[in-house]
Amino acid sequence: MRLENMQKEFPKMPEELHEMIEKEVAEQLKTPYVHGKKKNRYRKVLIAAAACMTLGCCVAAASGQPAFRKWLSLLGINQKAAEELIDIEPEAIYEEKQPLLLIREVYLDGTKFIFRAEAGAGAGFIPLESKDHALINGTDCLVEYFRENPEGSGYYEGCIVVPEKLEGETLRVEMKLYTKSGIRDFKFEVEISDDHLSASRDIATHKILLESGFAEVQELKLAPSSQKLKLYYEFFGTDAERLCKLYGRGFYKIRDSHGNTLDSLYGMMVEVADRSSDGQGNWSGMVTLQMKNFDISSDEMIIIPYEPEYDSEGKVIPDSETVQEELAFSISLQ
Amino acid sequence: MNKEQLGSLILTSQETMYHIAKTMLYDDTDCADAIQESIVKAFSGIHTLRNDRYAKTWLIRILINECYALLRRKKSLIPTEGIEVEQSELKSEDYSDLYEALCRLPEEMRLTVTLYYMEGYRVKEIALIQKTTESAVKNRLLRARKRLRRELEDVEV
Repeated sequence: MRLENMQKEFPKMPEELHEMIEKEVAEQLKTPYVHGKKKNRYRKVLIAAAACMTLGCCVAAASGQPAFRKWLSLLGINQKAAEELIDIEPEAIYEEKQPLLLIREVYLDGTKFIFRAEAGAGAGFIPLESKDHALINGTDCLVEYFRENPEGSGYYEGCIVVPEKLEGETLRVEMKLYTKSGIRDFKFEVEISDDHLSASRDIATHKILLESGFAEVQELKLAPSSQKLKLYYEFFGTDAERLCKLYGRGFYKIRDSHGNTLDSLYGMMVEVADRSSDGQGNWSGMVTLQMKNFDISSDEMIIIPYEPEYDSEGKVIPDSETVQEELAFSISLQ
Repeated sequence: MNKEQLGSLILTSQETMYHIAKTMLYDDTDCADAIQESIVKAFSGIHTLRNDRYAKTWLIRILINECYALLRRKKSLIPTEGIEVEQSELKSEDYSDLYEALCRLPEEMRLTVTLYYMEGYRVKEIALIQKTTESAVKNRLLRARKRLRRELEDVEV
C-alpha cells in the first residue's frame, strides 16, 4: 500500500453528490447574476439532461486570459499592444526570505510598470499599503496606485511610473509597505525584454507653423498604457490673443490617421498653463494632455481646436462645440 | 471567464472538490453543504477572478474556505479539542485504513497530503492554495508520511 495509490483507498464520491453538483451548476447557469445573492440550499429544480451536454461542450476553463483584463479594456484601441507586454508568472527574484508579496503578473512599457501580486506568507492578514514613492533601478519613482483588489482577496495591484530612461535586462523594484508590524521593505527583480523597452516611443521636439504663430511639440510620448502630449503655442499680430485663447484652452478633437477621433473633454487629463502676453502683442500658452486611447500605431496626430458653449453655471455643454477644422494641424508620428 | 466556462470547470473538478471536502470534513452531508455553498459563491463572485489560469485554484480556495467556515460553525456548536475526527466516528463507515489514518492527521497536513497524492498538485501549487510556503508544504508531507508510517505499519510511505 503506498500513498501514491491513495486514489484507490479514498472513498468514492456518492452518486447523489454528483447529481447535486450538476443540478446546482445548471441552476446557477440559468439564474441571472445578482450581487450578494443568497444560496438556495438543495433546490428541488430538476434539470434537463441537455444542460449537462451543453456544458460538456464549453470552452476549457484555463484560457490564459490576462488578469489585467479590466485595466486593459480601458486602453481601447491600444489594448492588443498592451496585452503583448504582460508577462504572466514572471520569474521574480525576492530579496526577503518570506516576501510580503508574490509577483504573479507584470506589465511594462516605457511609461508604467504595473504588477499583480498575491499576499505572501509574510503579509499577515492586514491589508498592505504602500508609500507613494518607490525605487526602480535605483531611481525614485511615483507609485501611482497600490491596492488590494478585490478587497479582502489577498491580491494586490500596483502601478509605478517608470524612469525616463530604462536600461538593462532586469527591473529592480524597491517598495516600502505598511504592514501590521510597521514599514517593511519589499524588493524584487524581474527580467525585462527589448519588447518592454521599445514599447513606447518619444517624438522629437519640433515646431509646426500655424496661422500667425507656431505650435511647438515639447513632449510627445506614446505608450500602450498612456500617451502624453505637451504643446507650447506662440502667436503674433492682431489676432494673437484670440488664437492663443482658442488653441491654448485645451479643447481639442484629436484624430489619428485611421479616422478615430478623441475629445479632450472626455477621459483625458488636461493641464492648461496661464496664457501670457509679452506686452508687444505676442501671446503664448502651454497645454499638456494625458490620454489613453489614442492609437499608438497612427502615422499622425491631428489636433483640431474647438470652442465649446457654456451653460448659465459656466459648465461646458456637451456636443455644443464649434469645431475649427480649418485651424487643425498635424503632428507627424513617423 | 464566463458562467458557462465556470460551470464546465466545476463539472470537471467535482471529484477534486469532493476529495478536498472529504479530507477536511469527513461527513458526506457536510461535504455536500460545503460544495454547494462553494458553487454558489463561485458563480456570484466570478467577477473577482482576474486570471482564468488560476480558475481551479480559485475554486478550490473557495471550497477550502467553506470547509473551514463549516468546521468553525460545528466547532461553535460542539466544543471539542481540535478538529480531528473522532475514532468512533471514523468507524461508522466502511472506509480504508489509509483514509482513516489520513483523517487522524492534523487538518492542514491531511489537506496537503490529499492535494499532493490524490490530486497531483505540485508543492508550489499547494503552497499557493494553502497560502503558505513551499518549505512548509514539504515539511507537512514529510511529517505526514512519518505519522502515517507509524499508524499503519504495513503502509509503504
